[in-house]
Amino acid sequence: MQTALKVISNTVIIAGLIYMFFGVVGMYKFKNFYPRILTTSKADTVGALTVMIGIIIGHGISYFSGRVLLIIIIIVILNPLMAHIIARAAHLGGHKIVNPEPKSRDKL
Amino acid sequence: MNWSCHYGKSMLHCDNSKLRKRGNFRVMINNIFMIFIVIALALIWAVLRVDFSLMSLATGLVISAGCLYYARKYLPLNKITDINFFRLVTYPFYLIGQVYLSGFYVIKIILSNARVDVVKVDTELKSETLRIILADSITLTPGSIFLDMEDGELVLIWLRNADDAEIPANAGALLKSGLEKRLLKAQKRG
Repeated sequence: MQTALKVISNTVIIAGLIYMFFGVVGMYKFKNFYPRILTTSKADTVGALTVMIGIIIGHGISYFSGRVLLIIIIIVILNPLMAHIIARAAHLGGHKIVNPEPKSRDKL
Repeated sequence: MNWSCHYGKSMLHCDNSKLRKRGNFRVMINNIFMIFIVIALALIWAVLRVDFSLMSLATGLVISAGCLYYARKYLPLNKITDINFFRLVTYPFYLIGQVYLSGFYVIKIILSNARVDVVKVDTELKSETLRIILADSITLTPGSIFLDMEDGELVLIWLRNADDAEIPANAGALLKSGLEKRLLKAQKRG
C-alpha cells in the first residue's frame, strides 16, 4: 500500500514538473509579453498545484499535508490576482499586443 | 443617500440618525469581521512556521493587522450579503477540473502557434462579488486573464491558436464554460 502510494505520488509530481516544463518552453518560444504571461502564470498554478497534490498523496493525512494544503489554497487565491495585476498594468500602460500572421509557424 | 460606506469611512453622508445608527452597526460588524480576519491570518502564519509560541503569534498578529490596515480600502466587506455560499460548495472542485482541462488546451497551443486577443465577455451576474469570483476563476483557468470591467462586461486577454484568424462567436461561452452557470445558482434574487 505504501509503495503504491509512493508510485502514485511520484507520478503526479512528475506530471506537475512536465507541465512546468511546458510553461518554460512557452516563455522561451513566445517573444511577446502577453503570451508569455499567459503561459508562465499557468505553469505556476497548474504545475505547482499538481506537485503539491503529489506531495500530499505521498505523505498521507498528516500535519505536514495540512500545511501543504494551506499553501495550495493561498496559491489558488493569490496566483490569479498577481497575473491579473501584472497583465492589467501592462494593458493600461499601453503595451501593445503583437500577433503573428495567421497560418505562419515559428520554429521552436 | 449613500450610506453603504466602506469600512474606515465615516458616515458623513447620513443626515438621518436612524441611518447613522445602521451605518454605525455596519461599521461595528465590519470591525468584528476584521478582527476575525487578523486572527485567522495570524493562525495561518503560526501554522506555516510550525511555531505556536506567544512570540510567533504576536508577530503574526502585528503583521496581519498591518497588512489588513494597508488593504482595508480594497475589501468590500459590506457587499457580501447577496450570495448564498452554500450553493458554492461544489464550485472549487468544478473549478479545479476546468483548470486542468484548460491546462491541456494551453499545452496544445504552446506546441503549435499562439495569438492573443482582447475579448469582451458579457455576464448575467448582478452581484459584484460573484463577478469578482468569475473574473478570478477565469484568470485561474489557463489561457485567459481578466483585465478590466467595462460597462458590465469582462475584458479578457485570451490565448488561442494563431491559425484560427477569426475570434469564434461563442468565445464568451468558451471562456466562461460552466463557471457562470454555477455562480448564477448562488446569486440571491432581488
